[in-house]
Amino acid sequence: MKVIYYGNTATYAAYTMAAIHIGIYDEGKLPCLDHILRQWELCFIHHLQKGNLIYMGLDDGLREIYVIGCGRHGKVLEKIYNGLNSVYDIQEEIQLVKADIGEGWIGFLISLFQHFPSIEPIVKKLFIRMYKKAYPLWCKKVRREKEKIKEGKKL
Amino acid sequence: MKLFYHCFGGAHTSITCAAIHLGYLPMDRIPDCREFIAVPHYDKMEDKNRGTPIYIGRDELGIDIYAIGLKNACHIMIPAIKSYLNVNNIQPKDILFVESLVKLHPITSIGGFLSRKLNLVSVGRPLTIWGIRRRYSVFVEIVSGVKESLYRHIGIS
Repeated sequence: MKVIYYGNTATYAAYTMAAIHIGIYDEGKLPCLDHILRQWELCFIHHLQKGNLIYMGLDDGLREIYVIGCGRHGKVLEKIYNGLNSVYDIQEEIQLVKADIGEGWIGFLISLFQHFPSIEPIVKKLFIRMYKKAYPLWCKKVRREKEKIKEGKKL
Repeated sequence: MKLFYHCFGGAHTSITCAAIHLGYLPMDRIPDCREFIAVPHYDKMEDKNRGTPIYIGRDELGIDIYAIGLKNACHIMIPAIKSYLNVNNIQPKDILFVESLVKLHPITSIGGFLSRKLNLVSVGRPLTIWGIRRRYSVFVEIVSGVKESLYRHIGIS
């Protein structure tokens, strides 16, 4: 089974949720400040990179976890992937998970930083604050998705 | 090999190109309204199913022809499709995408909106046909170009 976390960008909510899912980040425990700041750099450098399925790793049930940035076209992406499964007779199940929590702010912060590079410390502080606020919500959603997958497996 | 004609909604222009490609619509003249209505899947794609590839048929070279609506995000969706096929060990070189988004009269877009979004088919569908008939030669040109390069690529003269 493949689990694909998709968001407006691949580098923020989708990346963090996938990292929580496979255990890179602890559920219920915030990553250290250094990791958060590195993710800010990742967001800033690669926020425009959309449409590439990025492999993150395997989870505890040996499911492949991917992330993808697809702008605001997640619904279309779901239809495309499900359609491709029938066109190419791909038997492996896929689960697409919308990772949009807190995504709205990241674009704003990046453009703010691009226009006013001198306010970097403020932007970084804002990023950390938002990240800390969104992290429990990401954990909750990942937990729910994992339960859904397990229930689906039982059925 | 599979060839996807893609447009915004997957209901009109991509279906028209696929229909010309497969000979459902003529290349030497402008078809009348009834011929358009007789084309399978013309003005049928529902908004909620946008993105689902529709199989239209197989051409004389054995290529499967599909129509698909990618909204205005083909620059994101085409790499997304290719990378998905890649992770499933399917060669992306066996898949071709042809953009069939032709600049049409605004009336055509209004027709598409009325028919697909508001379900006013009896009003919207004739408007889309009217718009496509006006620029039919452009669609024929696209398909001719595609067929020419396919023949060249596959090596049949």
